This record gives sequence, C-alpha cells and structure tokens, in this order.
Amino acid sequence: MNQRLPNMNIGLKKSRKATYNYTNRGTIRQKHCHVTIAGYYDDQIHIKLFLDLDKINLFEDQVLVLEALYAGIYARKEIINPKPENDIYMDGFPENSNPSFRLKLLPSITENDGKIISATKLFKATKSDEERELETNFLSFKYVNTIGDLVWKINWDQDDGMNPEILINEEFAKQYDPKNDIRFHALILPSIIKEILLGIFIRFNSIEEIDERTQAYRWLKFCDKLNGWSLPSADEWGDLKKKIVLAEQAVQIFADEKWQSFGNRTLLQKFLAKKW
Amino acid sequence: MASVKIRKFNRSGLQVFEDLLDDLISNPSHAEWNTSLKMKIDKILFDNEITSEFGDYEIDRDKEFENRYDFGEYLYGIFKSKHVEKEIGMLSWLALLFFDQICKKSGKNNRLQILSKYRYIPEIENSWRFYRHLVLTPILVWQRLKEDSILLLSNPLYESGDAVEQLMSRQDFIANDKILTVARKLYIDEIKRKPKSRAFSDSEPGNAKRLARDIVPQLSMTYDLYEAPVNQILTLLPDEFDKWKN
Repeated sequence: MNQRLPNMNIGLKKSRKATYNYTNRGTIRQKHCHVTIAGYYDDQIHIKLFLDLDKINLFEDQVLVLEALYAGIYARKEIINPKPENDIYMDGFPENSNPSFRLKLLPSITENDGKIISATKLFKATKSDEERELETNFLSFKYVNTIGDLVWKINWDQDDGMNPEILINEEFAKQYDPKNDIRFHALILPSIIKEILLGIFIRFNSIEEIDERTQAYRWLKFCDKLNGWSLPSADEWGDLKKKIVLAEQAVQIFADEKWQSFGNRTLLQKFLAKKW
Repeated sequence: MASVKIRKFNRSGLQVFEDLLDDLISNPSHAEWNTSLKMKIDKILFDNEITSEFGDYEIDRDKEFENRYDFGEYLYGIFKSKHVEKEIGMLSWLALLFFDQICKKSGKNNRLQILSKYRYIPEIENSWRFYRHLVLTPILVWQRLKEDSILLLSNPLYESGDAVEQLMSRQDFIANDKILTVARKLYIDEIKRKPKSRAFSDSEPGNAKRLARDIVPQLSMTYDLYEAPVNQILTLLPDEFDKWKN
C-alpha cells in the first residue's frame, strides 16, 4: 500500500486539501511552478525549475517528475529533494530548442497502476520581458473618433480579416494611455484578445488560409505560445464550439500570466495593488 | 549514382530559395520541370556564396523514392539519430535537392505544384508547422519508429497526409515510445508490413486518429503513460479498440 509517511523534511507537506479535475487526479496549478532555460551544452539543456513548495502538495512517499517534450523528443527527470530553485539537466535537446514542460507528482512506490497524483498542463519556459516585447509588438492600437462612445472596437475590414485593427476611442486615449495604463490592460485587454481570437476562428476554416505576414497569424502565434494552450488541430478548426472553448481558455491563461515587469504579478494583481 | 556532399543554405541562401518559391508560385509556367529549371536549381544548390558543406555526409541526388517511408529510411541511414530538427539551412537544401520528387507534377509539361513555403523551409519554432516539412518529418518518424514508420509514411513524397499530420501534431503521441508501440500493435499488418485497412478512417471505431486525438489525452490525465507497460495501456483502451488488437 502507498502509506503516507511522517513529514521529516522542510518543504514536504503532510496534508493539504488538493484540487482535483474530473478524472479525480489532482492539479498542480501553473502559478506554483515555472521554468527558465539557463543554457544549452551540445545536446544538453540546462533548466531552472522554480517551485512554490508551500502550495504543491508533496508527500514523502511521492516524487516530483519534470517532463520535457520537443519535436518528438521526450525526457524526464525526477526532482530529488525539491527546493524552491532546482537546476536540471536533460539530454537530447538541440541548441535553442524550446521544449514544452509538464510537472507530475507520482507515487514513489508504483503500486497504484501507474496513476498520476497531480500534474500541470504542458507549459513553456518563462521568458524575459524583452522576449515578450518582441512577441507582443503586434499589439498596436489605432486611435480614432469614428466609433461613437465605444471605448474600443476591432476593425476586420482590412485584407479580408487577415489584419484586424484595434481601434481605440481617441477621447478615451487622451485621458488614459492604453499602452501603459494598467487599468486598460487588466480590464479591457482580455476582452480584446477574446474577440480577436473568436473573429479569426469564425472567419477562417483552417490555419492554412492565414498568411504568416498578417496580424491574424501573429495573434495565433502569440496565443500558441501561452502556457498550456495550443491552436485547434486540423479537425478542430471545423468545430466552432471547441474553438469558443479554446478562445476562452486562451484569455484565462493570458489573465493568469505573471509578468516580470510587474514584480511577477498578473495584470489583475498589479491593478489591485494600486490605490485609485 | 551521383553522390554529392550534403550542404546547407546560409541566410542569403534561404532567401534565394524563398524567392525561387515565390517566383514559382506567382508564375506557374516557371514551375515546369525542365532543363532550365533544373539548371537554375543546380546553380543555387552549389553556389559557394550561399551554401556550404554540412558535416561530411554524402547523398545520392539521383536516387528515386517510392514513398516517404523509403525517403525517410534513406535519410535515416545517413543521419542515424543525429538531431537535425534545428538545421533549417540543411533541411531546406535537401528539400531543393529532391525538389522534383517532393513536389507533385501535373500536366503534360510536368508542372510542379508548389505548396506553402514551410513544406520546404522548416518553421521549427512553430509547433503547428514544423512537422509539415516534407524532408524533416520522414527523418523524425524514422528516428522514432524505424521499420514501423510505414504506419505514418506510406504516402508519396509530396503528400504529407492529413491523418499523419494530426498524429504528428499530438506531442504526447509522437514523443511516447509506449504509445507508438501500442499504435504499431494495433494498426500495422505484420504480414503485409503496412497499415491495416481503414486504420486512419474517421468513421472506423477505434481508428488511429481517435487514439491520438481523444484517447491518449484522456488517459494522460490519469496515467503516467510514459512509464506504463504497453500491455497495461492496451487494457486501458475502450472496447472500440478490441477489433484492432487481433
């Protein structure tokens, strides 16, 4: 039997209420762990795994395993004596590869039919704000006086919807700076992302239809890099309900994303931290 | 046999290749497979200004392949388990070397049908496009599946195949040796050494796409499929897969 043992090490929890998904498997929340890539050496990748051990339910008879996947390559490492910051080396990953990661909590004694105790979804390594800036430079606004009293509107008239424009009410922009005002980012940006994603999903029947030099393509590429989110597969492009769910998931993940420049806080946390 | 050293494009070379693709797409008459186009391609392939040797690998440029399986086997024989995923310059060069075979020819003038550029110049960081490259995927699949690659590579060189792309796009399918072994057991006809009839058919219960698209993600939520024994995974599959087990 998989007996619970007394907690003897700092960082190992004796009991904590877990959250479970519909399979009765626990979930490790994405916000409680993240990975950065420290470097590459020949075919080896050096990873730093950061863990919030107060929040991850780790018992002594359990092991944490980090998995990495990239272009059909798979590697896993058991995290011995997990610490808040862990150096991990994995073989078989070419230079500059950008794997997806997954953290799993497994029983150390394999007597439970190989069942997972808890896990994250697949996620990507955390990037610096400079890298994010490069990826999000498509997020440009056009200030107009043609949208009545709307604060913002998406214009789909350009290039058959390939280049959606984010129109911002000029009067609004005079008082609030949409590029830098956290209120705009926290309260309005998620809705903009959702409308653009849904707009793309409705207008195009496959990724093949979208030219890579367009804003629509850049939006999809940006969302595809959100941790734990991936574009609809070829067959899912025909399933509108599935695409609506995916758009909602993308917005949720975006809202939960922590930003280095905000002290590793989400947009909402940054917004709430300020007294207005 | 015309053996040549494998080369790779530099940045300028990739641009030249891209320009060639643009030209062939916008001027279909330029895409007729004739001496003029062959000479143009040869000039690009061996231009020292835009290409250089890639290691010490040799390749028979005149070799003809029946399908992607043969192509993958030949390239696997050259590279073995070397990681070539990031070698954009070399993979693009190989795409141009075998251009007349990885493009479908049509009409009496053998006009090449040019597909999207990422079929020829890989987009490695693009998770939904890297596996669509017409040279990289046969190598990757052969590195994973060896002789059982026939499960995914029975198409002609120019045809990636929707089913294959759906399977390749599922990270937990293509990266998991145990799941690939399950797929081999279920869907390869061991006597004929080819995929069983209707293995990829959407209307067939328990087909390979359903395994990759629905069942593996579901089971992955509960089970550590990378460590689970193959026989255990087989017993976890729903009844609809029973008929494939025989």
